[in-house]
Amino acid sequence: MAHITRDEFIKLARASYIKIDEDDIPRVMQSLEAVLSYASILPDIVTQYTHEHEVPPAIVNCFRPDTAVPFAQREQLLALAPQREENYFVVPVIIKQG
Amino acid sequence: MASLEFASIRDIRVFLERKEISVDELLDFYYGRFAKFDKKIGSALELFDKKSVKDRTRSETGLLAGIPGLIKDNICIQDRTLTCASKILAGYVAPYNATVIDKLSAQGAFFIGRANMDEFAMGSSTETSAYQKTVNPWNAQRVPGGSSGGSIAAVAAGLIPWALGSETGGSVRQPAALCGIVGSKPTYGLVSRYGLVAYASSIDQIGVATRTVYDNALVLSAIAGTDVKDATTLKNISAVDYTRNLTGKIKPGLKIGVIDNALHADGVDPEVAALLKNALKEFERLGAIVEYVKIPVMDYSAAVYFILSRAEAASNLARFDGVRYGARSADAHTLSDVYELSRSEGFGPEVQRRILIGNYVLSVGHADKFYNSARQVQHIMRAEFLKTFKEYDLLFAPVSPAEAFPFGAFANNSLQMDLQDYFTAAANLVGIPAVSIPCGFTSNKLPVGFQLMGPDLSEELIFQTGYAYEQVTQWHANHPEL
Repeated sequence: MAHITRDEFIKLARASYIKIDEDDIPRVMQSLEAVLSYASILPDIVTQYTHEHEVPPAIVNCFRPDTAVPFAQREQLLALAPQREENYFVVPVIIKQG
Repeated sequence: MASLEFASIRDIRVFLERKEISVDELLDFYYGRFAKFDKKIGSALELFDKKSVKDRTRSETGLLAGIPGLIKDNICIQDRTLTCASKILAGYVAPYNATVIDKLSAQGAFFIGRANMDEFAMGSSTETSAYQKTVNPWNAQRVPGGSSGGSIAAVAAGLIPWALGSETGGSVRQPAALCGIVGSKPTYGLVSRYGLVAYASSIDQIGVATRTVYDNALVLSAIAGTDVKDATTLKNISAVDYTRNLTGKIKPGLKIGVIDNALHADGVDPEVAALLKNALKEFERLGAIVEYVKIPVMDYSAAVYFILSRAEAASNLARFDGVRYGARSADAHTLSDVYELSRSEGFGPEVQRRILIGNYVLSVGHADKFYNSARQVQHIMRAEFLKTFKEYDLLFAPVSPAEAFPFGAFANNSLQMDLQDYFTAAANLVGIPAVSIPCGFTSNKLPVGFQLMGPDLSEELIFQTGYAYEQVTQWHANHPEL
């Protein structure tokens, strides 16, 4: 059974910010399909072992306190920007002013 | 003084101590090896200026004083270029040191250059590098394995005595087996990941490539330990000398469980299986109790690995957007273009494929079937492995189903390439340590290795056992003719 339709694939690529050339779509879809088909057995394995094992603990995020601390490398990090203006990263205009 | 060509770190330390060679002469020797042979091998993406290498060390004493190594190009060395073998990071300069670099530097180590790798550590042959091809030193028509192919090939070719790689699904052990050297994947959390560019954070771990078990244990002694900069390192891990039990004898009464469903899995080359069985006979001669055991859930480790690694990769690689660092497309005229074109031009096809799979398995409607199921099976796998370790001290399994394969062998079958991780991914998913050790050659004169896996923090026992095997077999004394 196919896991992904062409429309879903195009939507997925757009959401991932990855542009796939029209000619490459069938080949990339096929390779995705191969992995998804291979892994589609996993829910059955869960069912097979459920009586023996507890479910894994829920994923939790671990954050340190959000505290401002002195940072000496601002210039070094800004220097890595593809485009900068003073202390800002430059991106193309998002909203045009009227 | 014996030849330096394939000298171990252990021997080099003696040469330096006896002043039979100076640190400068040693550096000159390895730069000379790279100059002579790396055009053919292609292991290094960059060799650093020799003077700057010497000037940057923090200590003239320590476990690795004056001994140079090669660093996989996904581990940050401050003020050095770091690309992860990807175009999207072309020109990126690391603003800080990874913790392992600080630790090695404190032990006097030199970092001679950056090792080639599969792009963002995604691959099993080093063929996905955006920059260059790395060949297997035993046969230039064959891949070195991956993703740490540059690190491993350099060590196997005697260009350098040690290297760092990284593992997510077997990326140190698999190339180590295919190139005939020792490759380790420590317990998850034993070695800090701070400064390692993330692929799948919950299973990534830095590993060590060397030509001998002793050397591997020595380098791990230098890099292991709790790190306040990495919340996933294990707590209260103090310095351990992993060489201290390397006596040449195994632990009395050692029980080794051979994972039957791995050794006898479909697709394991009969020649490889025969070499692994010879290794088991050696362990019996050394006094180990060797028994076969089944861990059926291990058969699904590749499936679990495919889902969890791609899901985490999709999340981790979302940061590469062409805004703050890395390459930006020259054709981008809108913010959306900046993201889409920069990522499409910057990431290679394998990385793009893994991001797409990752976002698919995390998406509404599919996460339960794929991502959540994979996590549950991972949890089951850990429970099953830990249960098995109540019966056995160590587990034995193949690393790779076959010898090193020719370039392009899986160009039209990405799933077969992905399945090169079939036997190695379990240790990553379960979080346990595993070490790949050479155990002979196929009729094509290509190396084969086995892996020993142990429970959490059993590195000492694995090294002790592997060292005893190495001393009676001497496979490590074989080297490729370059």
